[in-house]
Amino acid sequence: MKREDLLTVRIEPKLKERIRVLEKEKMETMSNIVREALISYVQKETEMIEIRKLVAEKFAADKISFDEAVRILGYEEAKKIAFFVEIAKKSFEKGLK
Amino acid sequence: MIQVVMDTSSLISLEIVGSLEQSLEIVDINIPKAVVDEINELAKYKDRERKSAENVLKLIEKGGIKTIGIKNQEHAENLLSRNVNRGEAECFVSCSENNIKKLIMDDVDAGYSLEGQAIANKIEIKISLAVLMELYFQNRIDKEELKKLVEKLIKAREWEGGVLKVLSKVFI
Repeated sequence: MKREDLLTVRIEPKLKERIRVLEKEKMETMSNIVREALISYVQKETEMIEIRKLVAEKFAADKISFDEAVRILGYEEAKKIAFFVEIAKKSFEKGLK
Repeated sequence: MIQVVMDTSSLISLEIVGSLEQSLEIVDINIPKAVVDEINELAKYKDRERKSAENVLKLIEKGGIKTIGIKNQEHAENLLSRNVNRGEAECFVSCSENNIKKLIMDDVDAGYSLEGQAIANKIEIKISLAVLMELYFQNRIDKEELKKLVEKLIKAREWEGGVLKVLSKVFI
Protein backbone atom coordinates (compact mmCIF):
# COMPACT_ATOMS: atom_id res chain seq x y z
CA MET A 1 0.00 0.00 0.00
CA LYS A 2 1.27 3.46 -0.91
CA ARG A 3 2.39 5.53 2.04
CA GLU A 4 1.61 9.08 1.04
CA ASP A 5 0.17 10.77 4.08
CA LEU A 6 2.46 12.33 6.62
CA LEU A 7 1.35 12.56 10.24
CA THR A 8 3.13 14.87 12.64
CA VAL A 9 2.77 14.07 16.33
CA ARG A 10 4.35 15.73 19.35
CA ILE A 11 5.73 13.25 21.86
CA GLU A 12 7.62 13.47 25.14
CA PRO A 13 11.45 13.33 24.83
CA LYS A 14 11.51 10.24 27.10
CA LEU A 15 9.20 8.34 24.74
CA LYS A 16 11.34 9.33 21.79
CA GLU A 17 14.37 8.00 23.63
CA ARG A 18 12.60 4.67 24.24
CA ILE A 19 11.76 4.42 20.53
CA ARG A 20 15.43 5.10 19.73
CA VAL A 21 16.39 2.13 21.94
CA LEU A 22 13.88 -0.07 20.06
CA GLU A 23 15.25 1.23 16.77
CA LYS A 24 18.65 -0.26 17.63
CA GLU A 25 17.29 -3.46 19.19
CA LYS A 26 14.96 -4.26 16.29
CA MET A 27 17.13 -2.71 13.57
CA GLU A 28 14.06 -0.89 12.29
CA THR A 29 13.54 2.77 11.46
CA MET A 30 11.72 4.98 13.94
CA SER A 31 9.06 5.58 11.31
CA ASN A 32 8.41 1.82 10.95
CA ILE A 33 8.20 1.28 14.70
CA VAL A 34 5.71 4.12 15.16
CA ARG A 35 3.65 2.98 12.15
CA GLU A 36 3.50 -0.62 13.43
CA ALA A 37 2.49 0.63 16.88
CA LEU A 38 -0.26 2.78 15.34
CA ILE A 39 -1.60 -0.08 13.19
CA SER A 40 -1.68 -2.36 16.21
CA TYR A 41 -3.42 0.27 18.38
CA VAL A 42 -6.04 1.14 15.77
CA GLN A 43 -6.75 -2.56 15.15
CA LYS A 44 -7.10 -3.31 18.84
CA GLU A 45 -9.31 -0.30 19.54
CA THR A 46 -11.56 -1.05 16.55
CA GLU A 47 -12.01 -4.62 17.80
CA MET A 48 -12.68 -3.35 21.32
CA ILE A 49 -15.44 -1.02 20.10
CA GLU A 50 -17.24 -4.00 18.56
CA ILE A 51 -16.67 -6.22 21.58
CA ARG A 52 -17.81 -3.49 24.01
CA LYS A 53 -21.00 -2.97 21.97
CA LEU A 54 -21.75 -6.69 21.94
CA VAL A 55 -21.07 -7.18 25.65
CA ALA A 56 -23.12 -4.09 26.55
CA GLU A 57 -26.10 -5.35 24.56
CA LYS A 58 -25.90 -8.84 26.06
CA PHE A 59 -25.49 -7.45 29.57
CA ALA A 60 -28.51 -5.15 29.10
CA ALA A 61 -30.52 -8.16 27.88
CA ASP A 62 -29.41 -10.22 30.92
CA LYS A 63 -27.71 -12.72 28.61
CA ILE A 64 -24.33 -12.39 30.31
CA SER A 65 -23.47 -11.75 33.95
CA PHE A 66 -21.37 -8.92 35.37
CA ASP A 67 -18.57 -11.41 36.10
CA GLU A 68 -18.55 -12.55 32.48
CA ALA A 69 -18.45 -8.92 31.34
CA VAL A 70 -15.46 -8.37 33.65
CA ARG A 71 -13.66 -11.38 32.17
CA ILE A 72 -14.15 -10.04 28.64
CA LEU A 73 -13.58 -6.31 29.12
CA GLY A 74 -11.84 -5.91 32.46
CA TYR A 75 -13.35 -4.53 35.68
CA GLU A 76 -13.42 -0.81 34.84
CA GLU A 77 -15.09 -1.19 31.45
CA ALA A 78 -17.61 -3.69 32.81
CA LYS A 79 -18.45 -1.36 35.71
CA LYS A 80 -18.97 1.49 33.25
CA ILE A 81 -21.38 -0.60 31.20
CA ALA A 82 -23.23 -1.73 34.33
CA PHE A 83 -23.49 1.93 35.41
CA PHE A 84 -24.95 2.96 32.05
CA VAL A 85 -27.41 0.05 31.94
CA GLU A 86 -28.61 0.96 35.44
CA ILE A 87 -29.20 4.66 34.71
CA ALA A 88 -30.74 3.83 31.34
CA LYS A 89 -33.19 1.41 33.01
CA LYS A 90 -34.11 4.04 35.61
CA SER A 91 -34.55 6.65 32.89
CA PHE A 92 -36.89 4.35 30.95
CA GLU A 93 -38.87 3.34 34.03
CA LYS A 94 -39.16 6.62 35.88
CA GLY A 95 -38.35 9.43 33.46
CA LEU A 96 -37.28 12.36 35.62
CA LYS A 97 -39.08 11.16 38.79
CA MET B 1 -41.43 22.30 36.69
CA ILE B 2 -38.60 19.87 37.25
CA GLN B 3 -35.24 21.55 37.86
CA VAL B 4 -32.31 19.92 36.04
CA VAL B 5 -28.72 20.71 35.17
CA MET B 6 -27.68 19.41 31.76
CA ASP B 7 -24.25 18.80 30.29
CA THR B 8 -23.25 19.54 26.70
CA SER B 9 -23.72 15.96 25.47
CA SER B 10 -27.30 15.71 26.74
CA LEU B 11 -28.27 19.13 25.33
CA ILE B 12 -26.88 18.16 21.93
CA SER B 13 -28.58 14.73 22.07
CA LEU B 14 -31.99 16.29 22.74
CA GLU B 15 -31.42 18.90 20.03
CA ILE B 16 -30.38 16.21 17.51
CA VAL B 17 -33.62 14.29 18.08
CA GLY B 18 -35.55 17.59 17.89
CA SER B 19 -36.95 17.60 21.43
CA LEU B 20 -34.90 20.19 23.28
CA GLU B 21 -37.33 23.09 22.83
CA GLN B 22 -40.35 20.96 23.73
CA SER B 23 -38.61 19.65 26.83
CA LEU B 24 -38.67 23.23 28.17
CA GLU B 25 -42.42 22.71 28.71
CA ILE B 26 -41.67 20.28 31.52
CA VAL B 27 -38.15 21.09 32.77
CA ASP B 28 -36.19 24.14 33.83
CA ILE B 29 -32.82 23.57 32.19
CA ASN B 30 -29.86 25.12 33.99
CA ILE B 31 -26.32 25.10 32.64
CA PRO B 32 -23.02 26.45 33.95
CA LYS B 33 -20.83 28.85 31.96
CA ALA B 34 -18.38 26.12 30.98
CA VAL B 35 -21.17 24.31 29.10
CA VAL B 36 -21.99 27.53 27.19
CA ASP B 37 -18.27 27.74 26.28
CA GLU B 38 -18.30 24.11 25.05
CA ILE B 39 -21.39 24.71 22.91
CA ASN B 40 -19.84 27.87 21.44
CA GLU B 41 -16.80 25.76 20.58
CA LEU B 42 -18.94 23.04 18.92
CA ALA B 43 -20.71 25.71 16.86
CA LYS B 44 -17.37 26.55 15.20
CA TYR B 45 -16.83 23.11 13.69
CA LYS B 46 -18.28 21.85 10.44
CA ASP B 47 -19.75 18.58 11.61
CA ARG B 48 -23.20 17.25 12.38
CA GLU B 49 -23.13 18.80 15.83
CA ARG B 50 -22.62 22.35 14.55
CA LYS B 51 -26.25 22.99 13.61
CA SER B 52 -27.43 21.48 16.89
CA ALA B 53 -24.99 23.63 18.83
CA GLU B 54 -26.24 26.76 17.04
CA ASN B 55 -29.82 25.87 17.94
CA VAL B 56 -28.87 25.31 21.58
CA LEU B 57 -27.19 28.73 21.62
CA LYS B 58 -30.40 30.33 20.29
CA LEU B 59 -32.36 28.81 23.18
CA ILE B 60 -29.77 30.12 25.63
CA GLU B 61 -29.97 33.62 24.08
CA LYS B 62 -33.78 33.55 24.30
CA GLY B 63 -33.49 32.68 27.98
CA GLY B 64 -35.18 29.30 27.63
CA ILE B 65 -32.08 27.66 29.01
CA LYS B 66 -30.70 29.40 32.07
CA THR B 67 -27.01 29.98 32.63
CA ILE B 68 -25.95 29.77 36.26
CA GLY B 69 -22.62 30.74 37.74
CA ILE B 70 -20.70 28.63 40.21
CA LYS B 71 -19.24 30.04 43.42
CA ASN B 72 -16.77 27.31 44.34
CA GLN B 73 -14.35 27.09 41.42
CA GLU B 74 -11.98 25.01 43.54
CA HIS B 75 -14.63 22.30 43.89
CA ALA B 76 -14.92 22.17 40.08
CA GLU B 77 -11.11 22.04 39.74
CA ASN B 78 -10.97 19.08 42.11
CA LEU B 79 -13.46 17.12 40.02
CA LEU B 80 -11.45 17.45 36.81
CA SER B 81 -9.91 14.20 35.60
CA ARG B 82 -9.19 12.21 32.46
CA ASN B 83 -12.92 11.45 32.24
CA VAL B 84 -14.43 14.64 33.63
CA ASN B 85 -13.96 17.88 31.73
CA ARG B 86 -14.67 21.42 32.96
CA GLY B 87 -18.24 21.48 31.66
CA GLU B 88 -19.17 18.27 33.44
CA ALA B 89 -17.38 19.32 36.63
CA GLU B 90 -19.22 22.67 36.67
CA CYS B 91 -22.53 20.86 36.04
CA PHE B 92 -21.95 18.81 39.16
CA VAL B 93 -21.03 21.86 41.24
CA SER B 94 -24.09 23.73 39.87
CA CYS B 95 -26.33 20.92 41.13
CA SER B 96 -24.62 20.93 44.49
CA GLU B 97 -24.68 24.73 45.00
CA ASN B 98 -28.27 25.24 43.80
CA ASN B 99 -29.79 22.17 45.46
CA ILE B 100 -30.75 20.71 42.06
CA LYS B 101 -31.09 16.95 42.41
CA LYS B 102 -31.21 15.89 38.75
CA LEU B 103 -28.08 15.94 36.64
CA ILE B 104 -28.68 14.98 33.00
CA MET B 105 -25.45 13.72 31.53
CA ASP B 106 -24.98 11.65 28.38
CA ASP B 107 -21.22 11.30 28.73
CA VAL B 108 -20.87 7.83 30.26
CA ASP B 109 -17.24 8.23 31.31
CA ALA B 110 -18.01 11.44 33.19
CA GLY B 111 -21.20 10.07 34.76
CA TYR B 112 -19.39 6.95 35.89
CA SER B 113 -16.54 8.98 37.38
CA LEU B 114 -18.93 11.29 39.24
CA GLU B 115 -21.26 8.53 40.48
CA GLY B 116 -19.75 8.26 43.96
CA GLN B 117 -19.86 12.02 44.57
CA ALA B 118 -23.40 12.12 43.21
CA ILE B 119 -24.60 9.44 45.63
CA ALA B 120 -22.90 11.24 48.51
CA ASN B 121 -24.63 14.51 47.55
CA LYS B 122 -28.02 12.86 46.79
CA ILE B 123 -27.78 13.99 43.17
CA GLU B 124 -29.34 11.63 40.66
CA ILE B 125 -27.54 11.20 37.35
CA LYS B 126 -29.88 10.53 34.43
CA ILE B 127 -29.47 10.45 30.67
CA SER B 128 -31.32 12.59 28.10
CA LEU B 129 -33.62 9.64 27.42
CA ALA B 130 -35.24 10.38 30.82
CA VAL B 131 -36.45 13.72 29.43
CA LEU B 132 -38.09 11.96 26.45
CA MET B 133 -39.74 9.48 28.81
CA GLU B 134 -40.96 12.35 31.00
CA LEU B 135 -42.50 14.05 27.94
CA TYR B 136 -44.34 10.78 27.34
CA PHE B 137 -45.38 10.31 30.99
CA GLN B 138 -46.77 13.87 31.02
CA ASN B 139 -48.73 13.19 27.79
CA ARG B 140 -46.78 15.76 25.76
CA ILE B 141 -45.97 13.09 23.16
CA ASP B 142 -47.67 9.81 22.32
CA LYS B 143 -46.10 6.34 22.22
CA GLU B 144 -45.42 6.44 18.49
CA GLU B 145 -43.61 9.79 18.77
CA LEU B 146 -41.64 8.45 21.73
CA LYS B 147 -40.56 5.39 19.74
CA LYS B 148 -39.36 7.59 16.85
CA LEU B 149 -37.42 9.89 19.19
CA VAL B 150 -35.78 6.98 21.02
CA GLU B 151 -34.86 5.47 17.65
CA LYS B 152 -33.12 8.73 16.68
CA LEU B 153 -31.33 8.80 20.04
CA ILE B 154 -30.15 5.20 19.55
CA LYS B 155 -28.66 6.13 16.15
CA ALA B 156 -26.86 9.11 17.64
CA ARG B 157 -25.03 7.00 20.23
CA GLU B 158 -22.22 4.45 19.97
CA TRP B 159 -22.27 1.27 22.13
CA GLU B 160 -24.78 2.98 24.41
CA GLY B 161 -27.22 2.93 21.48
CA GLY B 162 -27.15 -0.88 21.56
CA VAL B 163 -28.09 -0.83 25.25
CA LEU B 164 -30.94 1.63 24.62
CA LYS B 165 -32.19 -0.53 21.76
CA VAL B 166 -32.33 -3.63 23.97
CA LEU B 167 -34.03 -1.76 26.82
CA SER B 168 -36.49 0.08 24.59
CA LYS B 169 -37.96 -3.31 23.58
CA VAL B 170 -38.55 -4.06 27.26
CA PHE B 171 -39.84 -0.67 28.41
CA ILE B 172 -41.71 0.84 25.44
